[in-house]
Amino acid sequence: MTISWQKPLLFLLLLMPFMQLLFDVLMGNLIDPIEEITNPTGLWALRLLLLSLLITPLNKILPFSIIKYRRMIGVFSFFYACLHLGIFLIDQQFNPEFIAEDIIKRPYITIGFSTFIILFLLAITSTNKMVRWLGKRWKKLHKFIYLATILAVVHFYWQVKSIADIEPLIYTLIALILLSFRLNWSKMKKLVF
Amino acid sequence: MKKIKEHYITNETDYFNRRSFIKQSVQFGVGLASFSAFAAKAEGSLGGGFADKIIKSNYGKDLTPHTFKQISSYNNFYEFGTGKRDPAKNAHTLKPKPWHIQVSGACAKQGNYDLEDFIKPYQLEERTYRFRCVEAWSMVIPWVGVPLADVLKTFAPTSKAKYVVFKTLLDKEQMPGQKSATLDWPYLEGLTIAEAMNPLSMLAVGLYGKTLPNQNGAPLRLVV
Repeated sequence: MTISWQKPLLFLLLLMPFMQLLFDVLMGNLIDPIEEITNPTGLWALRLLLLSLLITPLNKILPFSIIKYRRMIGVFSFFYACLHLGIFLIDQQFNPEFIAEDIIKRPYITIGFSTFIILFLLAITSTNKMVRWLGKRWKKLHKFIYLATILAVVHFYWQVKSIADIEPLIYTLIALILLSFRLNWSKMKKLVF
Repeated sequence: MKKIKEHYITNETDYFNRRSFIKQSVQFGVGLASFSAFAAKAEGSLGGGFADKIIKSNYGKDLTPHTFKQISSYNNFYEFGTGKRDPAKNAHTLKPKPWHIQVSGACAKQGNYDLEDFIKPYQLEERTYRFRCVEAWSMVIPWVGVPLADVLKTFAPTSKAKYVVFKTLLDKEQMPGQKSATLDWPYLEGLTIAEAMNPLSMLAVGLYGKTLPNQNGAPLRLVV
């Protein structure tokens, strides 16, 4: 039996943004490390979250199965979210007072932190053992990814410098399209008509 | 006298009446405008030097400057995009030459000046400053320029003048970021006369001994 190369390759690809960032940090290329780490890690957490949402719809139209890659993508999204939160904690000097104050008083951080909590729960229940142990409850829990997606784009939009910025708009549109794939259109038709 | 097009003029006496200026990064200009995108990326391809001698001041002589690459690739210049790495990529559309400055308002000597004539009376100085941006980053930069106080003395604001205002270029073709409603354009900055007369305030025309890269605010920018 040959060892397949696909998952290791995917692993390396997903690690690349981190490697680039690590390189920049070690080479002293960053002028404002807090900002220059917060932004890309947040973006990659969001991108991989959206990518993970693309797997199921894509799986329906492809002749081969890609479901097996979804978990790795999701966990990597959580990984980047951890780095993103980590930098925030460093910026707050790990001071619980500063952190609590920010989470309570700044809505976009409340939302960001809530998103992280959801991703955390999904990440720790992503193992095979957890899937078996949770049984039917697993699918119900993991539907929270849709809420996490909505919170993530709101978090992104809320911290933007100007409402004229198109970047968060693009991510929001992609998120809406991906979420719409998951809607049960036949069920909805029955409700409406 | 040759007619100067309205949109080439930097209105500098808003320079004497209100607040503003380009606090964004500086860049290389004169002689290199069309190649500045290139020049900004390639280390070592600095802009043209200055014909006249530059005196090295004592300001910041114990500070270690950031590299030219760092200074010319991390900039706050919303006219060329809101990302810090955007101006270096986008500022090549700026044409810093010819450049005209209009001085008007409550001052004795008003008029329109070609940049070269505007700067000519002053001795260029190199000053290394720790440059702090309002967006909470800083870099040590070896600026080449003249004290703003000296320039103000030339134009002699009257006792009625309370502020010095800087208004930058409004030109959406040269500065595509102005097509977006991110800020009100043209960007304005202002100082009280007292702030402007502070010995540290300067008008910079270069860095590292050469003319400013576009993304650093070519051909003239305020350092305050």
